[in-house]
Order: sequence, then C-alpha cells, then structure tokens
Amino acid sequence: MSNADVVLLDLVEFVPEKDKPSAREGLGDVVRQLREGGAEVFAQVDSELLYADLHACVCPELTGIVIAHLESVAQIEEADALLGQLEDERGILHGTLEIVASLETAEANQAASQIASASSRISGLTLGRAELVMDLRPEPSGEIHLMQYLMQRLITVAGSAGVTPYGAWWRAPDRGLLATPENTGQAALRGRAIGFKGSFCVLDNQVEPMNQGFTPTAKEVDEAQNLLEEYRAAVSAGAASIRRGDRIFDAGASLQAQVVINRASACAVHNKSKADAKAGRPVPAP
Amino acid sequence: MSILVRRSNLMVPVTNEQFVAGAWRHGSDAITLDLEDGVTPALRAEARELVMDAVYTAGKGAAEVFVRVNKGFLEADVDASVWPGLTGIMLPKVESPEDVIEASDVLNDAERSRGIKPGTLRLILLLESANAVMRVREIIAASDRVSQVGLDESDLSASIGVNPSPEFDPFVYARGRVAIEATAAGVQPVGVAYPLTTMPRLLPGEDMLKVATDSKNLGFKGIICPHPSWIASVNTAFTPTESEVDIYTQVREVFAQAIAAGTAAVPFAGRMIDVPVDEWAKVVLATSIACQLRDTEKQTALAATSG
Repeated sequence: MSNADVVLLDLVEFVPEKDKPSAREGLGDVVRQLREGGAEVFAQVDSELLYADLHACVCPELTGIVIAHLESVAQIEEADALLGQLEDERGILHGTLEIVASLETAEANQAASQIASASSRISGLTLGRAELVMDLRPEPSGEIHLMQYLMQRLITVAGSAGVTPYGAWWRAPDRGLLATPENTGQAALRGRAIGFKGSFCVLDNQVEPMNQGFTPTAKEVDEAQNLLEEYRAAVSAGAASIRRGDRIFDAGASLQAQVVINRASACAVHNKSKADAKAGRPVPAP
Repeated sequence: MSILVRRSNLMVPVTNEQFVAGAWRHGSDAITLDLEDGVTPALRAEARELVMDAVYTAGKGAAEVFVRVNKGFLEADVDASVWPGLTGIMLPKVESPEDVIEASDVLNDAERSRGIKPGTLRLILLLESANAVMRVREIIAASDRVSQVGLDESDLSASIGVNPSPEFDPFVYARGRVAIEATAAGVQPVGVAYPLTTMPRLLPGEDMLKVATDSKNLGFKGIICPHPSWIASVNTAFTPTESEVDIYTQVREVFAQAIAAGTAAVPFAGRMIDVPVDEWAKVVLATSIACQLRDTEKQTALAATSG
C-alpha cells in the first residue's frame, strides 16, 4: 500500500474500450477498500462517458472525480448535475463531490477561467496530457517550451479561481512509467517552485519523491521561521525591512515565509492523519 | 510622440526621516513615499502627518513624487497625500476595476477640495494576486489616470503559494501578460527581471545594469527601486545609448533615401530596414530626447538646490 495522499482510479487512459464495462463493475468496492487505507479516492472519468462512469464510481467514500479530456463548460455542468443526482440517490451530502478538470486541448485551456468557475465542485485544474493532445512535441533538446506557458497560465487561472493547480514540471522523456524516482522528485520540486501543489504519478516508487518534492524541506521551514522572527522583531522596532547580506527582506518576503510555514504544517497534519488511518486510529473528516 | 520617462522610482518609507531627507539626491525619475508595507501599522497615523513635508522634500531634485497608499485606508491616506508637488498615488493590491474607479473617485474629490486641476493626479497600479493578473485588461482600462502598472511579485508568490527559487521563474506568464496588456492599453509596464522581484538584493553596478537591461528587454519601461543603489544602473539601462542613437539616426536617413528611391526595404549595417524598423527608430530617438530633457530637469533642480 503506497503512501499517496490520493489514489486516482482510472477509467480512461489505462482501460481499453472493451474492458470498460467490467472495470466499472465493482468500482465502488475498490473505492471503499482504498479509502480505509487513509488515502482520498478519486476516479478519473471520461468527459464523453460521464453517465456510465459516474454511476460506476459515486459512493460515499469517493472524494471526487478527475474529468479527462475536459473540453467545455457544458461538460462541467453535465457532470455537476449528474453528481448532484447521484449524491441525492446514494446518501451523500449534496454538493460535496469534487471535480478536478483536466485541460488537455487548446479549447479547454482557452476557456480555463470559465471552466474553473463553472461549478462550486471544481477543486482543482490540471493539464493532463496537453503536450500530446495538442501536439506540443519535445524539441531535440527534450524541452517542450510551450508547456511552461501552459503550466503558468493554468496556475494563474487556478489561483484566480481559488482552486488547486495540479501538475509537475516534467522533462522529456520523463513521464508516467518512465520517470525514475529521482527525476520524479525533481519534477515535483520544479512544479512546486512555480506554484503546483501536487501531481499525478503511476508507479509506487514515484509516490514518496512526489510527496517530498511538494513538501517544504526542513531547511526551507527553518529559514522561513528565522526570517519571520527577525522581521517581526525589526517591525516592532519600527523598521520596514531587514537586510541580510545583500538581500532585502520586506513585508512580501515575510508573507512568503508564512506561506512556507503554513504549507509545511498542513503537510505534517495530513501525514499524521494518513498514518492514523493506516493504524486503524480514528481520523477526523477532512 | 509624447514619452513618459519614469525609469527609476525609488521607494522610501515615509517614516524614515533620514531616507526621506536624502531621497532626492539619488537621481531617480520618481520617488514613492511609502505609507503601506514600508510603515509599521502602529506608526500609520503618525506617518500620515509626515507626508506633506516629505512630498516637498522628495521633489527637490525634480523627481515626480508618488505616495503608496493603503488600499484599506484609501481616503485617509489620499487626504494626507494630496498636496502641491504630488504627481499621484501608487495603489497596491489592486484586484478589480472597481478598486481603480474608487481610487480615481477619491482623487477627484481631493483634487477639487485642494484646488488641483481635475484629472491630473496619476495612478501607478500594483497587482499582487493571480486574480489581478487575469483581470489586468479591465483593471488598467478603468481610469485614464493609470500611467504605469506592475506586479508585486513578492506578494504574488505568497498569493499563489510559491516559495520562489532563483532557478525557476514562476512568473513568465504573469509578467508577459501584464507587459502585453499594458503596452496595448498605452500604459507603461514596470518591473524587474527575475529573480530580483521576489528576492530584492543589492548588486554591484555592473550586475544591476545587466538586470535592468534584461528588464527593459522584457518590455518594461521602468523599475520600482527598493534601494538607491539601483537607480544609476536603472536610468542607464532604460536610456538609449549613444551608439543606439547614432545607428537609429542613420536608419532614419537610409530609410528616407530608400523611400525617395522607390523602395521600402533596404539593407543597412547587416540588417534589413523596413517600416517597422523605421517606426522603432522614431521611438528610440524620441525616447532619447525625452530622457535628455528629464535628466536636464533633474540636473538643473539639483544645481539650484545645492547652489
């Protein structure tokens, strides 16, 4: 059992068309089992097969869905209505199932702001396989230059809508099954440095590097705490900024430091509740 | 072609008596007296009392003088700031066009009651959230007073939850969006090349000149300077060099001759000169003249005050 924060059960990328009916059967049981292990459980569903996919996965133990190949606001509205109906039928508090929208096409990225605010269920955005779907192939250098633009735009749109941007800054050919633990960690670190909060991975040995990469390091937290203490002392003495060597730390830097500390403590709390769940101790609802 | 020359804008906490007293000697095109993040909240009321004299002092070297106000105390801060000699207000944490309209309305009232010509006070807007970045077009179009707009990348980092690392610039998109939208709207984008925005530091002149030149090449028209040591490099970087002036003067001549000879594309000094290059030459030459005028104004003021 991996230590992932979320287990995403895929009905789209890894399931051949002919196996989909059997994959949908018994999906609810899998969700329940996984949830007992402490991870949140999401299902990745197809934007064009919402009815069948949602009927298969919705149960009280499900946290939400990732909609792959999401194209339009209309699809979000469809998913929103279906989820509402299933919540009512299956004894789930109305409006609680989340949606993460995977924007893989130019149209979807163009409409990102509208999509992000199309439903109060939207809790996150990700680019999915945008570089493949949009034919943004790597250059001989291995870099996909336009991905940086798409990633940063997505992060800005997500920030603007108050939802979480998911993704990592991969470098070709690292992706999916090919990414070594080390390169996964690097992709997570780069991703965190530009504003992603977490990412998807497919192998067990990618989970820990992913978790580490997206958690502020002890060194960062130490630095942030020291900086904040010094800054606060300076402010109470009437100064507006502190100087350390040639660096100038002002109110903005103190906000950044607070963000690091808050993020680190949120990660610590989350790790503890996962450990508690694994050990069978009671865990408060998230 | 009227060109605003506001290359360097020195930020000074209005409560720092020594900084305020010396600010005008550093040769910045503008000075912004800070009532916001640079002032401890406990001193805010006291700080407002200092603004009137500080506006006068800061203007002694012919710098434009701005006051950075607190968005939450807009009326009190504007009331404390609108005195003869003030060029305008720097409005931080702008989130929406309504914020800009509100500030502009408050300035309308202040202009009327203080006998300042209506509509003359300028605005410099600072965007500090992802939401503001997405709405930049409506925000800068909200008032004719808006003369410059920039990102506060330090606060923006906190807003999107990033601990900035010098290797990975998180704001390529945001910066580009602001630069393009501002330019399209005829508003000057201001800002500095990464990572100095999120991690301001003192740099040796040569390094600062490189950063300032990079900033100009990102489309910015000026830099808000947290320290006087940035100013000289910033002014230099945003002023066309003698050799640029020389080359673009020749470009204009060569292009005029080409037109007279019946062609609109002509090779010169290893480049193809056509309409866009000639248009750019006009901008460079006009900028050069505007910078010279600005520098002369400042030197004259400095000489008069020192003498």
